[in-house]
Amino acid sequence: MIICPLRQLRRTTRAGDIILNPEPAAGGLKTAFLENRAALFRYLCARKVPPDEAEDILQDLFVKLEGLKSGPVAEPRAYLHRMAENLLYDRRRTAGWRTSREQAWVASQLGVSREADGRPSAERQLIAREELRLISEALAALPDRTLQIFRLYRLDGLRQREIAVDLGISVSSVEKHLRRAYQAVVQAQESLVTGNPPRVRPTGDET
Amino acid sequence: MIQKTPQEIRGEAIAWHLRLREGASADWDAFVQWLEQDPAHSDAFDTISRADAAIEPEAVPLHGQPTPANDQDRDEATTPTPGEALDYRPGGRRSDTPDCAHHAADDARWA
Repeated sequence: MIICPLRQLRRTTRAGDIILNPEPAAGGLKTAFLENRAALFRYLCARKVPPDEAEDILQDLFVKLEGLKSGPVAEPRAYLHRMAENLLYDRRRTAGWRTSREQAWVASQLGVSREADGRPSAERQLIAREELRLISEALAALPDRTLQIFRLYRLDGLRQREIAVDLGISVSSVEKHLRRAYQAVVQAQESLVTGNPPRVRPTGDET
Repeated sequence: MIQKTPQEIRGEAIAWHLRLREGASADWDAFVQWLEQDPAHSDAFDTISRADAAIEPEAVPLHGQPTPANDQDRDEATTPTPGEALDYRPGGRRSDTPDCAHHAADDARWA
């Protein structure tokens, strides 16, 4: 049983959101962008973005910086990489990547062939619901403590260190619980792709 | 070069996903190096991002299974000293890439 008083109301974060330092000038970020443009381009290439699309993303990123009200950021280079990653993510999602490279990868890793996707949206919605159901099941099979830590991290947006302090455990313990929870989520998703039943207790037998 | 299994790569991708949420610039540099080691790494990272994004709050159950007593013991045994807590940065004490053998050992302890 975990009793975890939230010391304050925290906004729910989207996965990958970073917490902004609310001060200074976006001008600093633009300077940082120009200084780190090559590194960001390399990052996008490492993320398997074709060069012309990488240029598009960097252009989008710069335009976003123009409209940014927030000020100085503690780690501008990290911040810019996160922005690039988010832009990339949005593009892949919009392009319907669930059936493209990502699933092709899963299929190739698991030796499952998969036809091209021309499914109607109603079917996609059914699949999305099934996906959520599998994820929910997989999470419910986790130890309660692991699930509580996952909720604090993913739904309440707490940092690992904050969770560690709240629960009186080490940060590395928090990370272990989170890794286990994410393994369960990813395996639930794969079970949908392959049609195999999810292995909700992937790391060992219950005795 | 020893080929990593998809499961190992997935474990590393999860560790990166966690590390980068609070990642400093140096973490991103290390992440790029990991990505460049193997094209499969980028795909695995996509898989984790997508899985995470698929989670809707209402789909997350309020309670899991009763926690085994030995979980409690392990947590207490690893309570950090104040200095340790201050030092911590995700992955900060490890080499550039999250350590797979370390993960495997963790998994064994979950069994």
